[in-house]
Amino acid sequence: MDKRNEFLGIFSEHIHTLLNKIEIPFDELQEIRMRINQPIIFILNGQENYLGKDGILTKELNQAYRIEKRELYETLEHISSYSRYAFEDEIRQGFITISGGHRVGLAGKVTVESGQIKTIHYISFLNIRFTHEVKGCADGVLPYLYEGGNVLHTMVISPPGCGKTTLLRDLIRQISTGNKIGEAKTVGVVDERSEIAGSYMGIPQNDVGIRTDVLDNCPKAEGMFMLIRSMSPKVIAVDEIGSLEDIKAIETACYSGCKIIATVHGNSLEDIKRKNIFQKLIENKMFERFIVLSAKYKVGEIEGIYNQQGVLIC
Amino acid sequence: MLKIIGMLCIICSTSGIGFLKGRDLIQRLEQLKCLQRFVIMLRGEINYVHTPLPEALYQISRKIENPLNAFLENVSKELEIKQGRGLKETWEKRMESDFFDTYLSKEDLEGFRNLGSQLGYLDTQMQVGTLNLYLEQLEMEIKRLDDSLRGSIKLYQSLGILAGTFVAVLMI
Repeated sequence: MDKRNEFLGIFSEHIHTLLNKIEIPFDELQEIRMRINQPIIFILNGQENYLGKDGILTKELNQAYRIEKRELYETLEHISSYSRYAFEDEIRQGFITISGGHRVGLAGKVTVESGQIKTIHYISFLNIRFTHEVKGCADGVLPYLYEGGNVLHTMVISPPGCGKTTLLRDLIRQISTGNKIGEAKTVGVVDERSEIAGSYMGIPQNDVGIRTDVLDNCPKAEGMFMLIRSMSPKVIAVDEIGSLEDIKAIETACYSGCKIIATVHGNSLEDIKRKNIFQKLIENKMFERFIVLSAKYKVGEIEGIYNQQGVLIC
Repeated sequence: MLKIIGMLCIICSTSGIGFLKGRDLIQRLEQLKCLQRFVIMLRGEINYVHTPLPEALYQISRKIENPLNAFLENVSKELEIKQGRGLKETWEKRMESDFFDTYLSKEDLEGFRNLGSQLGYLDTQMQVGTLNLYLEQLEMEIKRLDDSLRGSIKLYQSLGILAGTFVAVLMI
């Protein structure tokens, strides 16, 4: 199935018909937001457009088509491959990954049991976020991440939306397939939120290299142990570390001879040093490189690369 | 002489109808058992593996008999290509075209059609509950049919022969 049909296939019959009339610029498409009784908003290159009643993209609110409850439920049916039961864990976390590696964020009435989120009922809000691979975006940082042919323990620090997952994905791809700096290595990815590999039914939809094994939808800490035990990776990659369990698992992985590439939310290296849970990792000099990203001028901009001692090297 | 040949033809054809009716009952029982096997397999796929329906239906279609195998494969294919049509509509549309050659009764088909409208939008526990309920109904129907099968077949066969004989007697 081509990209266009795959994309149209997730919508209800009427919206499918409306969208069929439009030439959608997929490369510019970032998000589609759907809310019951509200206009469908397309975000193209950061600009909002409404889906019009006549099957056009418009900026006029009075021409916008408003999605009915039945249509949103139908769309959700397509998104969940007609199998809500197969996505219980994902729904509990608030998103479903669809074919192509795109993520659909969900909101509605949350059911809580014993203080834990059980599920989301009456899903009334959808945010379809489109993944865009940027192959080669790691070219600039790769030379700083190798020493004597070995990959260094690396932490990518970035605020949300600055491209840390995109950078991590390209790092994984290049390390796994081989690059000009170092020879190819087996990479294990613990993809807790299916963002890195964008796996659909266990198969990565994004290019994560030829020597990459992915544990999809798996908690990071447990996943790292599982990979070490079963897949003997040379490099382990994880996204958005932040819990005490994650830190412990990283320590264990470091001592077991694997190299770690992890991302974390933060504005700067100082920010990370101030967070209690990361202090031990930094004091023990577990990480050998820190890459700080920002989006001051453009998304994915490298603000600085620091060494083990926290000294700026680039 | 011609009369005797005619009488024999009538007796043979009514007896044949009786035998065919009996065979239909056996076939219906077989097809109900086939539905039962399908529901048990689907329950396993949903409960233990959480396989999404299009894939689960395809997997099961490889292990099950006609006419269910063609139906399941077609539903699975149509769901995979996503034409904007939901599961319920796809299920009903395929039932119309793939179940023309069936021994199942109107009630059996209605039950199976209802099953299609109850799949896909529930969580595991509720989905398994729905399948269990349908399975119970199937089991009851199978048992009822099984218990009365011998008697019913005999009855149809005897009625066929008797009806033919009765018409033949009237012809004398």
